Amino acid sequence: MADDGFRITRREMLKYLLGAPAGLLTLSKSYGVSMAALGFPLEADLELSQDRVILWQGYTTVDTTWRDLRGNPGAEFPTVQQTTLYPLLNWAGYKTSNSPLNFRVLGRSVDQSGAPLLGNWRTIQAGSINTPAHRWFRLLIQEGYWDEYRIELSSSTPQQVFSQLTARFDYLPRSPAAGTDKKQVASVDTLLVWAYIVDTTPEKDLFGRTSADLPVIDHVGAYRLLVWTGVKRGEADIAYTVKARSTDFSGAPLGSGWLVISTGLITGAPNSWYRVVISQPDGLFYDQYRICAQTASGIQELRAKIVGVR
Amino acid sequence: MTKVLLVFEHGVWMNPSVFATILRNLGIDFQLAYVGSVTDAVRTDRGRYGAASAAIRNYFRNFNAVFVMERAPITTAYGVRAAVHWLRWNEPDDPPIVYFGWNFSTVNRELDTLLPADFPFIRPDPNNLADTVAIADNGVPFASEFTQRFGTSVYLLREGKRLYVPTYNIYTGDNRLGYWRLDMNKHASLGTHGEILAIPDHPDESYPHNAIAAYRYRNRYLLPATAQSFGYIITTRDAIPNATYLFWFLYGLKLAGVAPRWALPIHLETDHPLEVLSNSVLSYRQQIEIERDVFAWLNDFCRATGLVVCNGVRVGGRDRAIHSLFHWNLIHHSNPEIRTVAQQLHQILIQGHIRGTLPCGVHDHSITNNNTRGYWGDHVHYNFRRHINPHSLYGAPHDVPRMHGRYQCARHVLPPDAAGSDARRTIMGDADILEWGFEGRMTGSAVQFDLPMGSVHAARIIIESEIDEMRAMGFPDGHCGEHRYTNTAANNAGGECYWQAAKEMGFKGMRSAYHCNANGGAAVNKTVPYNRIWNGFHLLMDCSLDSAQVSPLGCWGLYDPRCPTSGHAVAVLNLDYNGDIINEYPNSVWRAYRRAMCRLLSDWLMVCVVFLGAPYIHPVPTWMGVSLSQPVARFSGLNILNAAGTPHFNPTVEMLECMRDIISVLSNYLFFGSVSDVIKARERVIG
Repeated sequence: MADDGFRITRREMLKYLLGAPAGLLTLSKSYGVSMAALGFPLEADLELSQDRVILWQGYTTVDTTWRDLRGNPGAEFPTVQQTTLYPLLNWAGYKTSNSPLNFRVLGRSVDQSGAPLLGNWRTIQAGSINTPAHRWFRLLIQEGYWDEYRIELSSSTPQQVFSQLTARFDYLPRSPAAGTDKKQVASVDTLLVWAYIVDTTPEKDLFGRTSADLPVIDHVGAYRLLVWTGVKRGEADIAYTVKARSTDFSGAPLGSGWLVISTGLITGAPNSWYRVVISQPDGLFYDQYRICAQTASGIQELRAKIVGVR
Repeated sequence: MTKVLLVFEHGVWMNPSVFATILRNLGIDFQLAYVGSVTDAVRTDRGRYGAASAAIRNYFRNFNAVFVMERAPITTAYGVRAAVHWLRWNEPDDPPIVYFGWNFSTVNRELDTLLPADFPFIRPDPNNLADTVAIADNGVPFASEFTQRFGTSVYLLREGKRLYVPTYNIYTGDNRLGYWRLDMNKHASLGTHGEILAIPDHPDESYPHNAIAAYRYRNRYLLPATAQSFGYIITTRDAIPNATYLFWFLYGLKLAGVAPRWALPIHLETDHPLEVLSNSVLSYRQQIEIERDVFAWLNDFCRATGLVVCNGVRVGGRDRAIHSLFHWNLIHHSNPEIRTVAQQLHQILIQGHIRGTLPCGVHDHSITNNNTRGYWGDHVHYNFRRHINPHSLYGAPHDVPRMHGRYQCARHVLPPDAAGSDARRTIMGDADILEWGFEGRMTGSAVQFDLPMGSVHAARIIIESEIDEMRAMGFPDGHCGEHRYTNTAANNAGGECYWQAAKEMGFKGMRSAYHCNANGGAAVNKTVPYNRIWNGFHLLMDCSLDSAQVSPLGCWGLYDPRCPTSGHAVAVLNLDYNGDIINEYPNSVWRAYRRAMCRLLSDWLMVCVVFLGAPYIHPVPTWMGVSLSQPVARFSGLNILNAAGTPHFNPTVEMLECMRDIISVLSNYLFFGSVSDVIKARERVIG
């Protein structure tokens, strides 16, 4: 994904950040605005920012306690949520001390109710920003489509950190059939949320069925990309196979059997998150998928969420 | 918008899914917070606050109520211990705090010096259960395989009602459940600051005089636990039985004065309102008389309460004649005695359909080769028979497609004049298709032919034949009147071609399993969309509330030791524990009744409140254990017997009457309604 969509000039950044009430610097430990929290309509942001949207901006005082961009040390709480739409996030900031700024970018998925599949997080990126005081920095978060992100910071000596978190989204190709020239955001839809006990049986799908002709998800021909995230609750690795096929417009498969489009291994400690991107160079666009999973040994619960990207 | 704060011990193991969904469905906003020890800071969306600080007290004032969510065994020092500080905050501007199954056992030593001196509970002591805990329900275990055994029913003192709602306050750690016990002297000293809200109460049980299930301590409410586990996630596939204790969550909202934006409908469906068992000891006439009398009672109940019961009429008996016991065959039965009583029931259904109390829709087990699988249950239905109606669109003798044309192309990309001369336009969802090349793929004027089931053309023929039969029987339509819905056979809604055909014929929804044609090995096995809405067409999640199934000897209600395991409620609902029903029968009938009602009512609440789904029963297997002379009498133990000489048990009468009590207690949150109310609720919160 090219990052040339982000053209935040230094002047723009200063405008955003210094536009905050200066008096608040002395009154509170952190100040910031979440666009989603304020209920700003997405459309308004679209008009202003074309193909990017500001998710959060503001500052916080960072110390030895891990706290997020909003200053919240509560590890259970996201910095931003309802972010499934975005393939790419950009965190731009300004640090005020020579002390290294430690960071962790975390992500997770939620179920049908909006509750996380598990309350912990997947560490997407972690590191340290070692620039001198009063310098800009920028970090691209290229692991997109998570429902919630938390960006945590710490510093050995207290320092204020100014941040702006923006996200990029894609547009659908313009379609003459749609009868409009208006650009349409490429939406991301939830296709499945499921928890399943995986065992060592080969060719068992995510619902525990071994009959080879049964799909796990259906009516999904609109999606060029599937992103399968979740939590593995046990120790053993989990091997998976993703198969696909197309149907006619009444929904009947064009033939029996499947095309295997992806295989792999889900690894990690118990209760760790995983992320599998199911794609092909020219997009998927199959109508049905059958996803099988088996452990190397024993049994374990596998929590899964699959979203489709148009 | 009203807002509730849900406080959990920690975020990794405890999942707010069920409660988040209930609150979303009721239009109540919420926020989460986490804290364990009395010395921990409370982690909130706004940062950390000391558990006993003025800051957290002020933070609480942003909410209409604070709910302490708990599920810790009394043998452990786990749980939201910090909530002990909040027992003392009882100023008028402090929001009410509701403690669900809070663990203040003696093992929780952190609480020793912090509990208020006038706190009127005897602290549960795992080493002295006899004096500190009231063990519930004969000591049944609380393992996952025994989730059916929910403890006893309770009596609500404010409302003066006995409710069959699964209840426990204490999880002993050895898998038993229990209730709190009250220090009656402290309770008396509290005066108006203490109030017993609920006590365990049932004729078959005996508890210590100080056993309680719910209590108000000043502005704090101590209620039973709300969950067996906080580990579940909410999915679109199945109703997960983790909402067993949700009554207490709703009752907590009521006690705390948290008003919903809207109430949620409780509704019910029946499959096969007119049907008989060929292997029952009851005659056909006796079986139908039971159905007639119960439906007459049901009709009155609906008129009195606003409940709308949709009924899936078993069609196909006229055109496909697979089974001689279908609705059509019974109302045209050659035996005048059977025919007469079947017609009496039939007229109740027609009148109920017209008046809106008992709307009826198509429910077709006659399609597919083995007569059970419903829509698209096979790839091909061999020797399919359609309806004969020259005024129809798809009936004989009309020559219509029985499968797709050989060529199919989207209209907007088809070059001019490229389509064949027999081209037809077909709309499927948002696809606009021209298809042609129908040679050998038409019905001609034939009534009987092999029908590949996976096309919108087959679906049109099938669904129109069903509606045609309904009209021939006197129903004005086949989609439950204004509700434009039906409960499908075998919970199989087919797939998008059947949804499209149903939409064209006026439907706006169907009941459907996630695998919407899954019952047979030869089935295609398609799935419903994630949100269960396809182009505006709703596919409601199924949940059976049957307390008995068809068995070789018929079905005998609550329990009959002579009956196979599928034929009575004790077996189907797994109510027995270590022989405490079957070995003590018939003295254990009230125990069986209590457990059955707790199970059925909690499942019914769960599917309506959490999943906005479709609960249903089969009248024949569930009603055949009733008294022939008093089929709609309330359960009365050994005082009223059925034809087998075992206690009369009409689970539908019991469920409806008991649910009426629950709704009267929770009238701001629940109401008896229709499937249309459910679809409206789904459109509000799912979209």
